[in-house]
Amino acid sequence: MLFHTWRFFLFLTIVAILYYNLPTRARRLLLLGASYYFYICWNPKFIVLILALTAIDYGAALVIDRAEARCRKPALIASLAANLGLLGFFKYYNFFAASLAQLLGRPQDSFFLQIVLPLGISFHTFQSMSYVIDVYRGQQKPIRDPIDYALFIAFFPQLVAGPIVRAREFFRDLYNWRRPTGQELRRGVLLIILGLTKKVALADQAALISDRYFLNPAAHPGMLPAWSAAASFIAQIYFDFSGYSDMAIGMALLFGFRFPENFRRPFLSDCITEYWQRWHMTLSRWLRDYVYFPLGGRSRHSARAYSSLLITLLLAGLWHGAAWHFVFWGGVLGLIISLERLTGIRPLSFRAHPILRTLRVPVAFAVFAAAAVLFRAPDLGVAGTVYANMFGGATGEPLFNIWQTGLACAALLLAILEEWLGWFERLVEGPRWAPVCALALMFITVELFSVSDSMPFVYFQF
Amino acid sequence: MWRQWRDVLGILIGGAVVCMLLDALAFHTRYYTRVLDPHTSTGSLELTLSIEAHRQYWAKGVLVLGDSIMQQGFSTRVANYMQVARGYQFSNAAIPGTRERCWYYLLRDLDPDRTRYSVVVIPTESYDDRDLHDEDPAEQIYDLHYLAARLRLSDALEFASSFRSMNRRLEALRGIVLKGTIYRQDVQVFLDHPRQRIADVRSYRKMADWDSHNYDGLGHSLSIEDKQAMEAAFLEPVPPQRGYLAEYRRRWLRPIVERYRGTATRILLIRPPMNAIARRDVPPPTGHSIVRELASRPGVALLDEHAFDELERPEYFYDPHHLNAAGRAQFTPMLVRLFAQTIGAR
Repeated sequence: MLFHTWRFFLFLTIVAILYYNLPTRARRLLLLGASYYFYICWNPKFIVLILALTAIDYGAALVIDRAEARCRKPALIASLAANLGLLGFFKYYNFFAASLAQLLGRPQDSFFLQIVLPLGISFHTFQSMSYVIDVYRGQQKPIRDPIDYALFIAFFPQLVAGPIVRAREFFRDLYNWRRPTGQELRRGVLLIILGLTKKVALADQAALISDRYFLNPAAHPGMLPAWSAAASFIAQIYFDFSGYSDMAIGMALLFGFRFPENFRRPFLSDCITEYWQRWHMTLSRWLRDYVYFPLGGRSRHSARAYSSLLITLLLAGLWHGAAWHFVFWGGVLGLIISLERLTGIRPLSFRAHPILRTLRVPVAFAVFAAAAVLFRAPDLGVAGTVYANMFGGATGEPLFNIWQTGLACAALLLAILEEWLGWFERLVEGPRWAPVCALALMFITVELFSVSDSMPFVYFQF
Repeated sequence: MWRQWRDVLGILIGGAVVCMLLDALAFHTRYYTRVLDPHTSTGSLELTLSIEAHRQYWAKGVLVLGDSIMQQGFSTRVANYMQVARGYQFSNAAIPGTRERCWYYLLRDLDPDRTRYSVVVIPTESYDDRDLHDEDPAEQIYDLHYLAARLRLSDALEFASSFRSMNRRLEALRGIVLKGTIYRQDVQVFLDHPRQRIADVRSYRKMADWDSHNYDGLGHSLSIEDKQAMEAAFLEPVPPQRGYLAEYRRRWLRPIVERYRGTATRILLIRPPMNAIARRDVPPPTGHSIVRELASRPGVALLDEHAFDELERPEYFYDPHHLNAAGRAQFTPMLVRLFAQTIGAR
C-alpha cells in the first residue's frame, strides 16, 4: 500500500474518521492496529520481526530504568545488538558476503542468501535505538504501556521512511494530545497534497531522465548529458524523499502529532555543510547525537573531531545502501565538509552577504550533484565513466525537455519565495480561496505531469 | 471539531472542483483535440472522425468500420473505381485497435441523425459467440483512450460500467471526468515543441485522407517465422468459454444495429479474412450467435461466413492477421461484388 495510491488514501480516510469518533485509549489501539495492518499489507511475514524488536527494546528500557547500575549497560548492549544485528543481517549481509568473496577470489555470489529487506527497518531500528539510548542516558523516561511504545515504533505515517522521530517528541504529543487546530488540519492536508505532487509529478519525471542516463552513460557522451543526469538524480531523490516526508508530517498532523521538519530547501544551501544541515535533517540529527558527538565531535577543530566527522559521514553513506559506492559517497561528503571546516567556509547569511551567497549556491549544488553520482551509479566503474563525461570531452545535449526545465524552474522559484516570504504558512493562514487555488494547481500538476507507471518511493529501499 | 474538518473538506473539495473546471476548460471544450498527435489512439480516432465528418458524398454513402484488418485490407479507391456497386460511395473509417465499443460512439457522433449512411459495414471475427481469445474484450482500457474526446459526462456511467473489473471502471470514470489524465503523455510531448506540433498536425491532416486513399498496402508476404508462430498458436488449447464475446456483442454490437432500426440505413455484417493460415481444426461452434440473431432483423444483412476463406493464405498477408497489397487487391473487389449482390438484391 504505497502512499500515492487511492487504496492508501481510502485507508487513511477510514482511519481518520474512526480516530475522531473513538475515546482516547481506543484511538491508540486503532492507530496501532492500522499501523500493523499497513505493515502486513507489505509483507505479513515481517510482522514478527517488528513485534520482536518492539518487545526487546520495550523490555530493555524497563530493565535499564529499574536495574542496578551494573546491569544497565548489558541491557543497553543487548538492545543495540538486537537492532544492529537484525539491521546488519537483513541489509548488509549480502554486501559483506560479496566483499568477503571478492577478497577470497571467489565468485561474488558465493555466500549470498536470498534476503528480502523488511519494510522501513533502517528507520524504525534507529528510532528504537535512540529511545533505549535516551533512557540509558536518563534523557527519557521508559514507557510503561506496551501499546504506546509499539505505536511509537510502528506509527504508519513514518514507519516506512521516517522522519526519524525522537521518543520525547512522539510521547509529548501522545500524552499531551490536543486536537489539531483548523490551521493545523489545513497545513496537514496541504502538506499531504504537496508531498504527493512532489512525488508523482516531479520526482518520477526526474527519475525518467536520470534512469535513462545511468542505465548506459556511455550512450550519452558529453558534459551536458552527464550534468543534467546528475542534477536530475538530485532532484529525483529530493522530491521523492521530501515528498514522502511532507506526506508523513501532514498525516501525523491530522492525528494530532507534530513531527519535526525533514528537509529545508537544501538546494538553496551555499556549502556542503549547509546541505547536510538542510537535507534529511532527522537523520543528520540522529547521527550527530548518537554517533558524531559520542565519538568526540564536540571539540570542533581537534583531530578527533575530524575523524568523528569522517566516520559519521561514512556510516551515513553505508546507511543509505549496502554497497561500496554509498560508502564512498559518504566519505567524499565527509572530506568536503572537513575541508570546509578547515578553510572556514560556513553558511553565509543572505542578508549580510547577498551576492556572495547567491554566487556560492550554484557551486554548492554542482559539488553536491557531482558527489551524488557516487550515490546513483550502480558501481564505481560506472561512476568513473560519468565523471569522465562530466569533466571532459564534448559538450553534448542536455537531457531535459523544455517543460521539464520549466517545472524545475517553477519549483526552484517556489523554494526561493518560501525562503524569503514563507508563502506556505501564509497560504495556511490565508483566506480560504488561497489554499483552494493552491490545491487546484497541485491537482492539475499531478494530473498532467505524473508518470503513467508511477514508481515506489526511493527511500523505501533504505 | 466538525467545523474545522468542514473547513478542510471545503478546501479539498474546492481545490478538486477548480481543478475539474480547469480540466474541462482545456479538454472538454475539444480545443485541445485540434493539436492532438494523430499517431496516438485518441488522435487517430479524432482524425478519422474529422475526415469522415467533412467528406462529401456524391452517392449513397457506405461506411466501412473496422480495426487494422479492415484498414489494411479494404481500399475505398478500388471499391469506388470498380463501379460494381453503382450508386454507392464507399468510405473506410477503420481504425487500428478499435472494436464495437469504439464504433458505437464513433457512429453516434458521426451520424447523429442516422441519415448520413445508406449502409454501414461491420466486420466481426466470427459469427459464432465462441470466445476466441483469452482476453476479455470488455476490459480493453485502450477504448477509453480512443474515445477520450468523444465521451461526455453523461456517458460516464454507461461507459464505465461496461468494464468488468472495478479498477477499470474507476479508471474509465476518472478518464471521462478528468480528461487530462488521458491526454497527459500527449500534453507532455506537445509542450516540448508546441509550434512544431501544430504545424505537423496541420500538414498531416491535409495529407492523411489523400494518403489513405492512395495506399495500396504493404508489398511483402508472411515470413517463415510468422507462419511457424501461427501454426504453433493453433496447437494451443481453445481458451475457456466464459461467454465474454457474447456479452460484449450484446452490449455493443446490438446497440449499433438497434440504433439504425426503423431508418433507411442498412447494416452489413461480414467476416473478413482474419488469418494468414486457415485453421483446419476449427473448434466446434457453441450454437449461439448474436451476429446471426441480429442478421435476422429487418435492415440487417450478413455475408457468408466463409466468403473470404480462400484469401486466408500466406501470400496474401504481410503478418499473421493483416492483408498485404496482393490480399488487399483481392479482398476489396470480392467484398464490393458480394456487397452489390447482397444489398442490391434487397
